[in-house]
Amino acid sequence: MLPPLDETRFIEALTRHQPALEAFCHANLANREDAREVLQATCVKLWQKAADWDPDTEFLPWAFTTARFMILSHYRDQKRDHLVFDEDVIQAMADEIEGAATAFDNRRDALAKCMKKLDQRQRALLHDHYTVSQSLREIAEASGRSLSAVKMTLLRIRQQLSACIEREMRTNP
Amino acid sequence: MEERLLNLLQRVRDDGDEAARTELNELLRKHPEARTIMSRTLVDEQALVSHLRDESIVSILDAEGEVATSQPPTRPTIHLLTWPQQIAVALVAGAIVGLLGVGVVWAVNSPQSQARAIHVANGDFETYSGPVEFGFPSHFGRWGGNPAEVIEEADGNRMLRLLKTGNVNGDPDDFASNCSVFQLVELSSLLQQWETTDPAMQITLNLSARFRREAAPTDAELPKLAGSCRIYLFKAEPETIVEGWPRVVNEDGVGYGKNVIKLAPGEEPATITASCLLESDATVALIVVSASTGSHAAPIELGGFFVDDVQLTAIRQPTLPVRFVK
Repeated sequence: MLPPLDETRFIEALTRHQPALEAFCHANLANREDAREVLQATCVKLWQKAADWDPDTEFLPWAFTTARFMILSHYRDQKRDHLVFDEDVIQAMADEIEGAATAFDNRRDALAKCMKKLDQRQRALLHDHYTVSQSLREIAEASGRSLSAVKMTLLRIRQQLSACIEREMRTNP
Repeated sequence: MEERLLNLLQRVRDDGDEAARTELNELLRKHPEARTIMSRTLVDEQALVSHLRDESIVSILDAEGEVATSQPPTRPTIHLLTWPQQIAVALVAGAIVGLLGVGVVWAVNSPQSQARAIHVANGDFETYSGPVEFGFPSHFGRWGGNPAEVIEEADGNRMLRLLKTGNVNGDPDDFASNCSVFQLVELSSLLQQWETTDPAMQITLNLSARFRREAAPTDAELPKLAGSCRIYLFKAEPETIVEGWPRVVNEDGVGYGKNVIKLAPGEEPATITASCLLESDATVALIVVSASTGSHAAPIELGGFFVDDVQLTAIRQPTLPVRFVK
């Protein structure tokens, strides 16, 4: 059981870093539903282990360790064809994922700036696909465009955003 | 490399393409560069989802009435039943309970409701003139938000004029649908004065404001322009609300109320009221008066949209006038 002050600090840290933790899960699993499921399990586990966290140390590295354990456990529970990456591949990507997820807040700020450079149609496509969760096929049917054209548009937008985020990160690391 | 990775990832996700999956994993195994790109791509994808989610929170809250209608106004209105209605309710309920053979029911006279005005700093806009502070207000008792100003009419009455839509946290030129002016109101003194944990009593907060619309050159571009007043209740410090807006609504919000009015240019001014139940753990109310264009687009001048007489009232009353006894 945590003393009340530490409990408050734990809750604050978990709340503040939950988006980065979600990004960490997503980068390991490449699947939003799985990432949410593992994030939930990770938060429960972190809460159970809250007394192990020293509030004078960084929260994220400690939380990532637990999340990695939960991700590997999820991998072992799933059939291989349900997963995007092989287990050895996510272990090889561990450092890169941790580095990118640690910088999540900065990358998200950079992305917010980059989003302003998109026009309304590009933003609408992202909204339909990522917020409304429409498949690219549904978007293509609704807009009267071919599936390959929609796929290509989304690919170009993501490349544009990616290049812009990297530029922003170099300018304002 | 990036394009190849994105294409393969898309094929695995869309079609469960096993060949694409094998190729993707092989690339990641062999090329450190591919691992770096993929890690960043996926973290950025989550950043994109998170950004769009925040945008949609604002859009959902801006959508007319959908949350306002979810407020429970029926509980307070039961209190307004006249005595014949109370008896009728009692008779019907008593008959049902009597048939079930479990007890009796009676109607009780509701104790008097109590109303108390909560101070809104410069709610009538009479003690200030000129531009409203730009950006989210960081302290209690100050108006702040999108471009707006307090103007004085020929008869000396002052009111708030909402000037231009914009993004209140971040780049003001970003896409937006609202021109909103905010004020943080401290609730702890009210909660101390009134026992808020008594389950037999409930407190409702009512935010009212008078809206007026005059003809303006941009009227043709604003067919869906509507005024609204909103109350958000938080269990959070003002700094948390300022820094986390609008995400904080999801994280620390404990109550919400909204009302909307559409006015044609030149139409008679009208007063609307937004209500929400005051949860006992709420510490701060964020009150908002705004004009919404109904579409998320580049900032636009609103012309002649005015707000006056912003008032916040707390009403304490019994939860139900009818009690069941086994």
